[in-house]
Amino acid sequence: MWKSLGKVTVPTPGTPVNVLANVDFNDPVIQALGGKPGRFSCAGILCQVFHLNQDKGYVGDRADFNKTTGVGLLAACGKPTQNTIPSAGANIPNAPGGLNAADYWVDVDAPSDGFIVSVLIL
Amino acid sequence: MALPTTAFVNGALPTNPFPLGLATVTSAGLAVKLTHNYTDIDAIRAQRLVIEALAGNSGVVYVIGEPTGPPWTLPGGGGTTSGADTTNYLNVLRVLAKGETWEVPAYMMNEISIGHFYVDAATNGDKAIATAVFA
Repeated sequence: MWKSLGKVTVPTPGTPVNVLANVDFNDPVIQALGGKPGRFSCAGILCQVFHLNQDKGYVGDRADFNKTTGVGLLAACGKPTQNTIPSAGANIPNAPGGLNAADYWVDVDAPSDGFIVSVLIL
Repeated sequence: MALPTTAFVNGALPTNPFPLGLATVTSAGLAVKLTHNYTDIDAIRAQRLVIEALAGNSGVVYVIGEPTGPPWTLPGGGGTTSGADTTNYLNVLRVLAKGETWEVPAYMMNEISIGHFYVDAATNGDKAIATAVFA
């Protein structure tokens, strides 16, 4: 199933936010999916810039990834338009729990922009 | 011509890919199930599900994934909703701009429960069409 992890807002550009920021680990649904702090196994993850963002968004693989130097940067997503809402994703088709969603952070250029994040659980 | 209400013909879907047809969000905030045109395919699993927001839409379309019908209880005491959670987006899988398509991947054999997908919209009357592909 695809499971939404909600909108992840970045209050301060340059300070990445983990994609699990909204996840309530006491939620029985999340627990049934095996989600726990620091570990949310999935087969795929989709990070889509929020459609009302004012500027670009970035996805990285560490809490201190740097959108400027590129250290830890996985993807840069353009500012959304009326006809395109960019996204970045990853998947491991042959390993249903091979990705850990906790390993991904997002950053933005404009304060309070964000991403909508969802994961594929097989 | 009136739409048929059942998808199966002689125990099988007549085509693969199978078009689920049009889903019109009459009232923004009230989600429409992608399978709403048929009464007998909610339990079907597909390998891929292709959802397109029509180019003539006025605003965005929200794709929702929920295993049961609305109203949905949002996590963290967020209340209930019968459409997209447009506060924290906790039931939104992806947002489609007008004309955009999302090919929902399962990557493996038929793992997409097509009866779990709904669409909502920011504007009354906006539409999406969907097609299911079976492995």
